[in-house]
Amino acid sequence: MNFLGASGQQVSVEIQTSDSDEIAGSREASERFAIIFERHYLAIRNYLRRRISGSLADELAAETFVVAFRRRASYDHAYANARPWLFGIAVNLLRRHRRQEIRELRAYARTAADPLCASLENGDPQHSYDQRVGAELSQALASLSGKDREVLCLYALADLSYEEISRTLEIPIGTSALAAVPSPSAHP
Amino acid sequence: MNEIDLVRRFRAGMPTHDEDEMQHARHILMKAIEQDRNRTFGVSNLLRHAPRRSVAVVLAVLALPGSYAIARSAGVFDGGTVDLTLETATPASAPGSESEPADPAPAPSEFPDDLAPGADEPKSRHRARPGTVDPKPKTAPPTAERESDGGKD
Repeated sequence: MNFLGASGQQVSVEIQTSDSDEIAGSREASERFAIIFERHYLAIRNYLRRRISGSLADELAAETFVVAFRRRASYDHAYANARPWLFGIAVNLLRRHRRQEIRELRAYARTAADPLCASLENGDPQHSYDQRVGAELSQALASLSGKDREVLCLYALADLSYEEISRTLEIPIGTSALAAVPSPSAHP
Repeated sequence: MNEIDLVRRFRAGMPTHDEDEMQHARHILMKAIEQDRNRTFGVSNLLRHAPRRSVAVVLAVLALPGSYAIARSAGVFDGGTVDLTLETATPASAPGSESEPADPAPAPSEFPDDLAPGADEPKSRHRARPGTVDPKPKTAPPTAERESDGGKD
């Protein structure tokens, strides 16, 4: 979009519309929803890839956007950013595969070899350390309740805020589930 | 390093970008978008041959997503809005009755002139009875959403 600057020169400014605007626009021009995909696909996919095996993660990531597209009429336009909404859909799709996720976590805990990693860096001491820590962490994650694990992963892996997690999981922000993560003030 | 940092590093080495997978996912989404567009076009085509007042009833009552786009695409409305006061409480006619209920005086609306009371309606075999849905579209119905489609458990 071009504006006339104070000096009389034309100034070109790129105005990025909000997710809410694009979703609203997609009700009349459905191809506008592709913008939502371009903005958020990698974040959703990378999150799912750290939760469950690769091919299933990719499948769920793609399905997240198809489901979101079909449900776009129900989007709450009070929120400009659609990321929590998309994560909410992804999390619900992932719940169908909770048993597989637990199985993979326990396998990691048992063998200290992450079944999600395609290859290991042999002889890399740092990698060996991470694998041992990862194995212990897997055991801890597997032992959490589903909701606590979701809250923790959304906070640490997806980098969502308390408010965004509350919106993603549709839980009040003051619930005990959010006690699974420390408050920001507790961070060093 | 606290516990949260440990979790942040969990599987941090996973591949973060895969253009092939992204392209594949984009393709899946575009197919869904195209299906939606085709459904809209198919319904529009059907509605072109239906009595226009029936179209208004169907769209207003069902409040289809994209109904405005459908109606506009079908040439039913010309930038106007659906007048919800006009049709929803149509007195019940006898099923199969040929006569149409008297039209109420429309509110100042933006209907095209050919929808004004007294305007001749094109004859059609497809006439929606009050409270019923217009004939099923000839195009294949949209794929029903799966039970677990991302909704709450």
